[in-house]
Amino acid sequence: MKIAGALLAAIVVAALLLPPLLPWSYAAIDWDAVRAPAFSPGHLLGTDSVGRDLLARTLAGTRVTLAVATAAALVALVIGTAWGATAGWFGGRVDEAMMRVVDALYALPFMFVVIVLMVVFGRSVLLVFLGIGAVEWLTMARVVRGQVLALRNRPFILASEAAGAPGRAILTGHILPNIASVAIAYLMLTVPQVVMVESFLSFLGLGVQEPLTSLGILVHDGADDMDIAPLTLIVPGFVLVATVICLNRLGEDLRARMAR
Amino acid sequence: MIAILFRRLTTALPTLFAVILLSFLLMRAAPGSPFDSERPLDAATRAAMDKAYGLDQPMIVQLGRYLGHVLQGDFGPSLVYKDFTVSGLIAQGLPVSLTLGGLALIFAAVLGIAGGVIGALRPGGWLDRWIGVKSAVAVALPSFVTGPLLVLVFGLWLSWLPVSGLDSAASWILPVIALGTPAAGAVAKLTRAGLAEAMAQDHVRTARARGLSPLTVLLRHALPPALIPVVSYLGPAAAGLLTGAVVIETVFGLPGLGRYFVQGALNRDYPLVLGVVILYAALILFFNLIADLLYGWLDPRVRG
Repeated sequence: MKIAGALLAAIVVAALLLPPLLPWSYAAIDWDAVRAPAFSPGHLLGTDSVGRDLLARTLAGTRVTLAVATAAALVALVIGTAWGATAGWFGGRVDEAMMRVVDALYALPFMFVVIVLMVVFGRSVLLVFLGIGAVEWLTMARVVRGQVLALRNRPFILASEAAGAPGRAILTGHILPNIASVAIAYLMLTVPQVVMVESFLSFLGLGVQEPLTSLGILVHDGADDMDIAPLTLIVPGFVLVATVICLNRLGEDLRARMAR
Repeated sequence: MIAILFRRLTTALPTLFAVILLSFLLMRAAPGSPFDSERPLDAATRAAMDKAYGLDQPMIVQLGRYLGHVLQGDFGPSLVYKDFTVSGLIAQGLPVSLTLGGLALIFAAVLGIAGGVIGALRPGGWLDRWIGVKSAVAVALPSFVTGPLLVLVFGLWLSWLPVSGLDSAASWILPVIALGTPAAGAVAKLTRAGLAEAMAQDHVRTARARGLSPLTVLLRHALPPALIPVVSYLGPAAAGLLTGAVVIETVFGLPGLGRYFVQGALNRDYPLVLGVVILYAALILFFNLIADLLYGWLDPRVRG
């Protein structure tokens, strides 16, 4: 738990603050140091096949990957909470119909739908995270619905209904504050999933596009060049896996605490 | 059992229909036409072409025809692989993809269940904790990272195993490991959690009180109920393996569906992409259905 938090914090802080301090930017080409090994002057982790600094590129890619993941997870949080809260609050037929939609979407091959959108409407970062956010909200909707359903008949909710409070006031004043903690725990668990999806798409060349970079692109480029410069695969791969493990660990821990 | 089947089909069939409808609309909404080329066609030729392919008909008629063709397994011609129909490409790629996915599923089930059982033998022991950490790591190992790494270590550095193509049985080893590892981690976690729950139940305590050996208790009495959550993971696992297979086939140069799918996506080959998506959707819905039926068979309480 502590190790996961510390490692994640280190990765995030490095990705945000370190790049301006490095001698080379992530897109700059050092013609004198193509495929430089680790610990060469100016390039702590060496360079890639066209002489770009690996450390700077990994940090830049981490930043993009985390930004896309956070944005998409927030989209999922908003849609999922709205959908789940509505279904749970109204109950009955409305609940049945809305949850049927969620069940049906669960059975869809997500990744392929996102890829089809990408093919038809062209590739853009905006579309990547909108597409991912739009399919990752399902779990959130289920969890929020369950919570709202459980709260629905608690005395303090019934009391404010009896006192004549309008439904919207009860939802925003009583229900949402009470489900916030659980929703945040699931938000933490959505982020690593989105990281995986984004990296997967970018690895296939269907996600984030050059000159922007992301961990998925770096793993892909590294895989192409691994027989000569193995670090270009190992470094971004390690950062990706470490980030996902830490986020999973923290999310599960948070969820366990909230469930108590 | 029939009730479960019926309820699931009433969700699965509309979903499949929605996928086909969505695919069709996307294909029509996509900018450009199949006949666009560097040299613009004159209006008369264009009209004749549209007529020949039925593109001059109203949308609803086109949809009806597309549905009719899809139901017969005809997804139209591929736009990029000239002289190939999408159905022909699918028929070539599907056996490879299914073999890859099936082997990875077996790998994941054997390794995962074994890991969960070994961990549960001594709850909280060092082996249990070690397997717990390993499965948490395995779940987070995306196949597009493990795939190239396995190629690097076992193919390029050690030269033990083939890394590309399908020349011998050994060609399957690395792709199956890369694809199955995250699923193996998930199965191990589910098995371990299911066993922890089952061990606390009355029938297991009774079996222990009768003096059966711990291994017999674990395998004969605790494992069957503990496997129920593993079975319900089959649906999501199938989806994950199919998705992962896309990358694995690209990395290892296997001639499966996933590689056609990626090539089609990059080349905007709409009929190919949509045909593969519809097939994937049908496969995933099928596996979800199987998982639900197995679930009902294994757990009498669900049959109700």
